[in-house]
Amino acid sequence: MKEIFVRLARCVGCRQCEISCALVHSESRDIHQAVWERPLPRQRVRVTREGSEYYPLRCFHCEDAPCIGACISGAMHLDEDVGTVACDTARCVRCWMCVMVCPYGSIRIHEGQKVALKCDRCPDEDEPACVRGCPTRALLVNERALVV
Amino acid sequence: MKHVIIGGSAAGMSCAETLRRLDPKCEITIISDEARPFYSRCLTSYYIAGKIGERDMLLRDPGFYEARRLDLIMGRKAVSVDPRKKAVVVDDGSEIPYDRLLLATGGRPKLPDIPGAGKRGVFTLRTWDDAVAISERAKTARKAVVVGGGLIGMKVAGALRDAGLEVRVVVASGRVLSQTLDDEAAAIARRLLEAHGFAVDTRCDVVEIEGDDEVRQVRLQDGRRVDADLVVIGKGVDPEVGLAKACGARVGRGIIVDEHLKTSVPDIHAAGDVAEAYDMAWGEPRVNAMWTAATSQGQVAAHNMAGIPTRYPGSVGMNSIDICGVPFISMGVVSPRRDRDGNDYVELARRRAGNWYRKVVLKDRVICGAVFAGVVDKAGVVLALIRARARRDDAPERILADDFTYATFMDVIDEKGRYFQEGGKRNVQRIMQGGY
Ligand SMILES: Cc1cc2nc3c(=O)[nH]c(=O)nc-3n(C[C@H](O)[C@H](O)[C@H](O)COP(=O)(O)OP(=O)(O)OC[C@H]3O[C@@H](n4cnc5c(N)ncnc54)[C@H](O)[C@@H]3O)c2cc1C
Ligand code: SF4
Ligand code: SF4
Repeated sequence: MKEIFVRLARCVGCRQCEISCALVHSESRDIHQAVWERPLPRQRVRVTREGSEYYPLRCFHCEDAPCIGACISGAMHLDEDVGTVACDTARCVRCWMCVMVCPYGSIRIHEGQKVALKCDRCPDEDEPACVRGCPTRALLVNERALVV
Repeated sequence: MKHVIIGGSAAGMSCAETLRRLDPKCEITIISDEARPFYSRCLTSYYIAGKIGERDMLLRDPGFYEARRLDLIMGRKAVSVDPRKKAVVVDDGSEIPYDRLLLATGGRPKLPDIPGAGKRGVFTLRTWDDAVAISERAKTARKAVVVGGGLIGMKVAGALRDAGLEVRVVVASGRVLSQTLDDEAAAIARRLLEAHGFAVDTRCDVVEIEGDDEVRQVRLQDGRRVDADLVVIGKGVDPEVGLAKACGARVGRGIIVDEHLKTSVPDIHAAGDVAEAYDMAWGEPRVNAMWTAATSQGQVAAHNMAGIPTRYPGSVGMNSIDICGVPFISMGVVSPRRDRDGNDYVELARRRAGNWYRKVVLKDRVICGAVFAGVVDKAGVVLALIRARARRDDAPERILADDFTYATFMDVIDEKGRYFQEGGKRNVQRIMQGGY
């Protein structure tokens, strides 16, 4: 099972991962058109600065994810095929229970559609968009077994 | 090993699924007095509002029970438990033996004795059947009165309004959501409700429900009579402790459980709305009636029932509610009980334009509660901080300034073990170590 890993020392805070993420989740998937979309396409990874370090924060796809246990509608679920925690936005009733329990603050409220928004690890892409976009290779994908 | 579970909702089902995962061979029987497979009780108000259909109420696909070999006895009530014989008696007279038993019987709406509460058109909301009856009535009704300004009252009020009714909320205390929000946040909620056309009466009660067979009017404490053709009573929930009491288990407000969610009777566990388990924010046992606690307690109970000793670290009472499009989240100690030990608590709050409000509550300089209105998106990080019970002196200011992320507090959040975040924790360690 592939996972996204972060090499913190390499992150320079350029936010390319954020842009790639927003773009891959836009309607047009074209940066020149995407900036005009309303609601604006939103990234699900966020780079924050703490002291002198940058942290690209996104959903960790927890084992025994608290957001799944809290979800009252069955929208938040484990996609057993790929091992990700996925949100079926059609079932989401916007109760924000998942937001209340995610210890990493990984779930955002989509301002336009008002649904829970989080990393889906790009199920339709060969490589997650954030990883592809990262110029310093601070983000990389690998088999869990190879890295741990 | 034969496991019997009484109650087939959040706590019972998460226990059953976890048991099956841990032990593919054991026998699992679920007894449920509701004649429906596992559905989401929390969606009943959305059902009344017409936002959720039959299909989406159900939380598992058809065939789920067979696939996991869960023996579901539906529409039957467990009437007693014999701990010496280790058997449950069901209302059709049959006896079901168990090696381990889980009481996941949830709660029942409190019914205050208001004269006339038996008339047609007067409801409580706990089950899907209740929701069906309310929405049936709402098709022809025009004016609704909701008695009680708690979470369920608010949800029903919103749903009936969405269904096109005029809604009046009658609240005994001085503010709406008095158990959930503090004064300031409750004032924001009330203003929103009134701006959206709800009538709200606080410090008031319904003293009589009038009409012949059917409700026509309600009489309020201050003497006013208001027209109503639909009344929903939401005055809180009592844990369904009857079975536990009768078989000799220790019962407080709920069934008292130890850190392994065992009751005082051997081989009987309890989980969910019926259980009085440890509360991490108050530092004492409490009944925290909420879906998240029910599912995680079900999982922990399953481990212990399967013979894998697992400690339940405790829950934090919390709630998330949307009032007229504005999100509110509260967690832990929200309004410290001033009379008893209020002096130990420090409350820090900030208000910004619009509906933005935030408060943190500290005890011994450790955060034990928080309220969010307007912007709630990092509330979970604060919850993790409360659960870690760690002291970080910069935390209140950074939370109130909305200048924080998980990275700000990760040293203290992830130091302390949290039962259900193993995967996340390992990932974080990987971040810290920088991958390879
Ligand atoms: C309208 C409404 C909205 C809610 N919204 C939210 C929300 O948004 N977020 C949240 O966290 N929580 C919410 N809750 C609370 C949440 O639904 C409960 O915390 C949760 O359902 C508790 O699960 P449980 O399994 O412990 O108990 P329950 O869901 O109450 O299930 C207990 C089951 O046991 C059955 N039973 C009881 N006695 C017996 C017996 N003797 N024999 C056989 N069966 C028996 C009952 O009929 C019931 O089916 C809401 C509740 C309501 C009513
Ligand atoms: S959203 Fe949060 S709680 Fe859910 S899997 Fe991702 S990191 Fe874990
Ligand atoms: S906001 Fe949506 S995904 Fe999150 S808990 Fe509620 S229904 Fe589930």
